[in-house]
Amino acid sequence: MTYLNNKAVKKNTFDVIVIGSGISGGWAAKEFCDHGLKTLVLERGKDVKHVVDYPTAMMEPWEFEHLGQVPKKLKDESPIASKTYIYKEDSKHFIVKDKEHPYIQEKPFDWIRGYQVGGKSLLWARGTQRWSKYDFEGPARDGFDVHWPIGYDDLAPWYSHVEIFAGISGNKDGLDSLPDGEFLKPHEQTCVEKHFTQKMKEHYHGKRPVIIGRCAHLTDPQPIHYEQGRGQCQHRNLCQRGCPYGGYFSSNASTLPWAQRTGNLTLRPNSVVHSIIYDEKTGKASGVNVVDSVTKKERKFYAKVIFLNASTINTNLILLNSKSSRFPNGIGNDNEQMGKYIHFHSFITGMSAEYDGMLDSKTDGTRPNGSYIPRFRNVKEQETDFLRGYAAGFSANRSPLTNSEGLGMELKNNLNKTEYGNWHVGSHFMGETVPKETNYVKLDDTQIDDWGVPLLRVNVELDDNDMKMAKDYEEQMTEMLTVAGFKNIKANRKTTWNPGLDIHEMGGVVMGTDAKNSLLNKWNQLHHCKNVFVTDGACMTSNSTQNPSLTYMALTARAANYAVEELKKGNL
Amino acid sequence: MERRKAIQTLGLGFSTLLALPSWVNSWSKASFAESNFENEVTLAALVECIIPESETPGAKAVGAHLYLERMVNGCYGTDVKKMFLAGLEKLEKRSSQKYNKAFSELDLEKRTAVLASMKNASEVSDKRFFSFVKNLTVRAYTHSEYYLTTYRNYVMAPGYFHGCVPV
Repeated sequence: MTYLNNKAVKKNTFDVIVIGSGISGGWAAKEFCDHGLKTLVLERGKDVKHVVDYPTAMMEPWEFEHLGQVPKKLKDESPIASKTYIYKEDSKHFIVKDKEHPYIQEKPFDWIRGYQVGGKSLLWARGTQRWSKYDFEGPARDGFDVHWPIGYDDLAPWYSHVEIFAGISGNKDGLDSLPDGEFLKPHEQTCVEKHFTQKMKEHYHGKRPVIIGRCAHLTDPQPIHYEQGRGQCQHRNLCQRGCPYGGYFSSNASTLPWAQRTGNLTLRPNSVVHSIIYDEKTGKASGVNVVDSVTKKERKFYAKVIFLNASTINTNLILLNSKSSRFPNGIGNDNEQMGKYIHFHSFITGMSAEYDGMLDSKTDGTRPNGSYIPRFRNVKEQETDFLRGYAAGFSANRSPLTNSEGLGMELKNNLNKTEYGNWHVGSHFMGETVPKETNYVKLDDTQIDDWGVPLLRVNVELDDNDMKMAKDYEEQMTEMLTVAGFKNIKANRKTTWNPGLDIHEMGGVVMGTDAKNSLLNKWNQLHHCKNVFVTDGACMTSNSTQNPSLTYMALTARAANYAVEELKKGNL
Repeated sequence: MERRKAIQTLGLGFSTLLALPSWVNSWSKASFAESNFENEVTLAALVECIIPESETPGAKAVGAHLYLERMVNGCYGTDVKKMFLAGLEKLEKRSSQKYNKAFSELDLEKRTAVLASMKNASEVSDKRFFSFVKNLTVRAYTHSEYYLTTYRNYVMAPGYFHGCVPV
């Protein structure tokens, strides 16, 4: 009997367990497998293999039964999921249905989830900007409760490491507020975007730069990308379906198949992690309790090192649910700060306008990207009556109008014409929010889900600072669009937007300088259980204004390589 | 030739979906063949007067009438369905009052006149019906393979973006 048990334990023992196969979990898997470590990746959702499991990828627009619209029955079953822009007829199979995975909103936080191999790396908007030193220094400068234990210089080499492999297109803009990276050829700005860029440069004396967006698209694939089996981005703008060319970065197209080829990866879909097993004798985590999502059978897996990459909120949930006599409030949660300081990006407003100049020109083709206005408020010092600042997306396009005036032949002739109106100008707001103890997630005391995991309770909301910041964006953008000579300028405040719809939720298990008020050290290890690492959005001390995924990738690669070194030294 | 192709391709491309993984259940349930297009004749007559066939295909040829019914059945609530069915009844009523014929039996000119009378009617529900069917017909037509490839140079993978070219 003992012999049999030992054999079973051995079969279920790996060097490393990575929980989650999304954008950060894929990176953990790649780094560990490259170093020859036997790595188990646990994914709670179904398997999605690159290309073969992208059912809509090659469908033409006219092949969709409802031409893109989601049927009412499905919307009614998923009132939260159907609020996100990404929940469309071609991509809805990659988004969790509300009724299958309930949670409790103490405040209306709209939690958007992608339970499948690759997670939300199939669905992300692919914006990839580095943080600057000002971003890392922000929490200390502004007196936040928790400060970053690392700075730009700690992460810069790891940004390079992940950028080269993932393939990031961008222009070397030389901005100290948004450091340059290892870029592939940039996308082109439209003539009106260039006009806007120039006008801003003149009017604000270089203090409000506008650049082409930096994004994870192979505009100019290198040998390292071909080696992954990926090819050039074909400008389809159908990324949310999964890309058959691997034209944008996803775990499915890049890190997971790469890790698989080393022979060191075991990928186990349909594996819901219930909790981390803590060994009181060794003072370390020894493995994880898993529930098979299909059979509901419980299993245990063991490893020397455990990486949490389950996505921000699920990482919080797993750790809070990992209770032992040493850790009655969840593993590593001695200070009871776990689950607190959930923060996000505010996307509550945007702008639209028209431009009636440059009417002899238009755009042609499609671009999976736009222009970008890096943060210009409070970058180096406090200038406004709100804390922190915002970045903004910006685009100006001109494609044929749909003229649907008239009826009968008049209508038909109008529709069949190729007419161009004014340039369409748009912008969206991405505001930094201040991490607060009062924005939290926690476990429900009594209710559990189908896999025996306590239901999550969420209490996260916007505050006055966020509202002041949104107002400032609208005022500043109105001024900027006016300076550029645009017309019909409108601020489009969203009335039904809730936190969560940014899909940039972060925090809860934050990195910090002090074990009194943070959960993780500068290497993403739990202060009180060093062989447990958290490198997804949950580890983020603050959110700044950049799209977060690139920073999760860099933090993950850095922490994984540190873990490899520590394993070699026998420290884990 | 092109018309036949258009009929085959709008919404009828479902044979390509047979090889889907089983978890994509939303498609397997909604087999096109099972749908019951009760109003097919009336709807075909309706969309044809919104965008008629001439030397080029109209809304009927690209399957807009099938799309219209599918949308009403699948994508809207009972209030919209009621409004839609009431509007169809109203079309019939106006046709028989004015011409003593069913809507679908009228020639294109008379049918168009009956439809236009809905647009100009005093009742809000009639106006709403008119915009509803017109919008969906325009959407079906402008998303059809025929339209996108003939008038919009549509290709799935252009492979480029130029930010500034002469009109």
